Amino acid sequence: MIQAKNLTKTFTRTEKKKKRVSFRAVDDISIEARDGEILGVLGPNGAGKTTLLRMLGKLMRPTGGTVTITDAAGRELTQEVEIKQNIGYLSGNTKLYKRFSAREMLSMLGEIYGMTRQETEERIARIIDILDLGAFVDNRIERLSTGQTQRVSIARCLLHSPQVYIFDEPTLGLDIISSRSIIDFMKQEKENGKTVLYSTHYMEEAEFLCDRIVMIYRGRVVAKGSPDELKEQTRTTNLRETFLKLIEDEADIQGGKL
Amino acid sequence: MRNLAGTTKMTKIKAIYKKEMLDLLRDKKTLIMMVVVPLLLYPLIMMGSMLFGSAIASSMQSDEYHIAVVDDAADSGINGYDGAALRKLLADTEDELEYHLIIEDIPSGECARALGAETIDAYIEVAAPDAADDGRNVLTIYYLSSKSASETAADMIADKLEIYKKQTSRQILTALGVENPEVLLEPVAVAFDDQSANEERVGRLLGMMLPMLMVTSILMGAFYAAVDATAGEKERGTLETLLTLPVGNDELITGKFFAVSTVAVASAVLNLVSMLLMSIYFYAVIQTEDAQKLHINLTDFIPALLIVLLCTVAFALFISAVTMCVTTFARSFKEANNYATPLMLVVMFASFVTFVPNIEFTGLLAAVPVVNISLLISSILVFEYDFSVIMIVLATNIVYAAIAILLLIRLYDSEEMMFGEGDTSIQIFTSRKEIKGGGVPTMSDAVLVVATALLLLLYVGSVVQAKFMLWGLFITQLLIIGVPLLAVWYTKRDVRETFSLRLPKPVWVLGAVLAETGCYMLVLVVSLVLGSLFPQDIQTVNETMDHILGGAGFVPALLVIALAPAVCEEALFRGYFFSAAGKRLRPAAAILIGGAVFGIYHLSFVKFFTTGILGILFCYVVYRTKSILLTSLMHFLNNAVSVAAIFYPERMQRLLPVLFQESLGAGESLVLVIAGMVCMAAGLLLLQAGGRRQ
Repeated sequence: MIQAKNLTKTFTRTEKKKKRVSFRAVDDISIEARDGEILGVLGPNGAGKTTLLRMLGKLMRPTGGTVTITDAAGRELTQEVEIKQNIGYLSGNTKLYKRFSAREMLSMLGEIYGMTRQETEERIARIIDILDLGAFVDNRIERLSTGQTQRVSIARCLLHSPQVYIFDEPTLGLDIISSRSIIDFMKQEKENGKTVLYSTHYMEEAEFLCDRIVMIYRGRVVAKGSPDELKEQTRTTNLRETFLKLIEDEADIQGGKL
Repeated sequence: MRNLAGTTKMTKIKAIYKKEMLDLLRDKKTLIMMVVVPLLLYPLIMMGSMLFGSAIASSMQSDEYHIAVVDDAADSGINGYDGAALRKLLADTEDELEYHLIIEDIPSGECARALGAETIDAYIEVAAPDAADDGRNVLTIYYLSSKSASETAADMIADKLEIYKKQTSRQILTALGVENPEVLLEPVAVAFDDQSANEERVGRLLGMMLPMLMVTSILMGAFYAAVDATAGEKERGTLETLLTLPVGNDELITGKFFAVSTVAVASAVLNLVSMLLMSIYFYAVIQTEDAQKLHINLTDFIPALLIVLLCTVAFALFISAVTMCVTTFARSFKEANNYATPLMLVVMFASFVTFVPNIEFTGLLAAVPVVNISLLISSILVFEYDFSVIMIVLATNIVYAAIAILLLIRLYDSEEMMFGEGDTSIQIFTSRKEIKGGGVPTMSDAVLVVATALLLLLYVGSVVQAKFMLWGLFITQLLIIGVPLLAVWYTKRDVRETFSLRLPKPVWVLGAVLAETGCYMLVLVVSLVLGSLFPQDIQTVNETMDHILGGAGFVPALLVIALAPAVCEEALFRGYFFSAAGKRLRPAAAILIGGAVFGIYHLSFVKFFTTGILGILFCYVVYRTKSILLTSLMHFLNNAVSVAAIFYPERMQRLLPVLFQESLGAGESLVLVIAGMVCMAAGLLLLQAGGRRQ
């Protein structure tokens, strides 16, 4: 399980003439994703999804609020290093070390995750099996196709058997076959009782994949619930329309405030 | 999932280190810089210099020079001029000089024309004995200084004539009945006997060259590795991957730092080895050619080289940490190149310290980075082992490296640095098409431009000044204004804004003159006080001045020494540099730094303070009025007074006796300081009048 309480992130920029401008990218968000669940994080560009997920993955420090995760044994973890140890994080920006082969990279990461050599080797053998990497596991990553690279990326997230997965637009720009491998993987891990946090722009994907959805706009949560609940609330027939309706309503409210 | 307790800091650092090393070694650029360059560079340098040397030697030997002797009008005179003996001497190729001079038979009237047509390179005219010259023969060598062959021929003739002079004196003395003419010719014989061992001489030479080469090669090795480990991660998009890993910034940086240092040390060791192999080979070649010329006991160098190696490691740690700090700011390899260029210039420039003659390696210098390692290597190679200095150098390098690493850890903490957009600040390295232009230069551009101008001043300026004297000074000034003008053109800056081209209000002119007068008094006191403390410094400055003036008139001197700097130096320092600094730093900091840079530019310890004070005032005036014309006027007045004092000492002494005093009493100093302050304050008040700048 992963839980965020009152997460806030403020960025300050120094603009011309030394004017300091602050901007709340994430504004008091509390969410929770349970074991055996896929939680979708949806929102338009610039809504604060990436910042939120980066804080959850401890890549960024929040300005306020806390992140807690529970590992498979049910222990609550709050330390940065412990949390990272139990998270598999994948985004469009988490590229691989191209000069290594998949096997070399994975064994090196195993060492950093504190696994013994034997543990790492066994785990890699298992992952090669699950993700069918056998044909190219010893080729340098720079020579792999996009789909193969994507499977190695998943292997990277899987290596240390994390309890929580955070996927930030993992299928962006991928063809159907490559995104299929990721989607299948998420479903599989959900079955295995893992927690999956998933942000995307593809509403169809989100609609059939997510158990629950959090809708974010301008750094705030504007709606949460299962896809069906959200559709019912807004009286729409598919998630795409739900999304547009929610955003328009919210823009009206915020516009009225101004 | 895994428990952390089993994973200690060391294992993580080790894992990061292994990852970085493998990553670096798989990169062609790093490998080339680390291995291929050192292995090829030194053989190439050696071969090049050998080829060059032998080419020069062979051209010297093979070249023949054609000359003529005109002595129709000469008679033997009281000193017995002997035309036949002179000709024989000139044509002799077997004597100690071994010159190839060929005497052409050209009628006396034709010689001048033949020289002009280059059928001969030079000729001697022997005039008839003249009472004005005590009845001696005057031998004039006619040549063309504009032709290098002619100049060489003239030098050769002069050498030959020296022998002829002695020969003639000897004959005369013998004819007069002197028994041992040599005693009269040279009552005392002077001989040199170099007591330093061959090893020391070789060491001295190595000591000059080696530090610069070592520093540069370590820097290059460290640079590529540092870029790859910092900006490279951003460029390849693996930084975010790295941040998902359960490692702290300290472990991450430490691992990366040791990997970069390893590459830097490896490249330094390879450089050293390659250079040694080449030197040994070179030495062997010399040995076989000429057995007694040089005998060196190579084993003498072993302890020295071991200490050099130790210093190299310490320096590699330092330079790796500093380079990583700089390259972390960049997002790509190209950008890192831009950021690191000023650093490289500074480091390489500092390593030139070993070429400065008679520099004393004291405790203070031992703490200055780069300079300390260069001087240490240089002193070790002449077998001066001062272990306290060695310890200081090693310790300071390690301490500086540690400070840089702590800074680096803080940088990795900064999310702006990790996820931010950043901007390219050195425009000069961006293609001109991509530059939008406008506004004033960036700070990095300004530093680079001043550094370039300073390098030109040092390497080109000193040469042209020595050769062309006053003209050389003028050329130097053109170079100094040329660099910022070129930079402004290339980066498409706003010329008016960059150079603060704005007409001053009339009342400001009065204010500037007053402020300058006041400042002159203050500077006078400062220079007299410092001059009494460091008399040598002042003496060198004065001698250089006398040499450069070399008999020029007042007006040219005024133009070159007062007017040219008022335009050129102002354009560089108060224009290009200060407009950039004033925009990006707080006013007080910009003014102080502007003054300090102007002081450094004068390359003298005492002048650093005196011109530094002037620089601060000038910067303030430009800051206040945005008009460089005012500081140009002030600069001109300041220099013009000095020029006038040199050319019209009597009149100036009557007018301003204080200028010529060697020292000042406390009372006089106080009066001058107070008067100067009052004058300056009045001037600055006038500058405030008529409204503030926009």
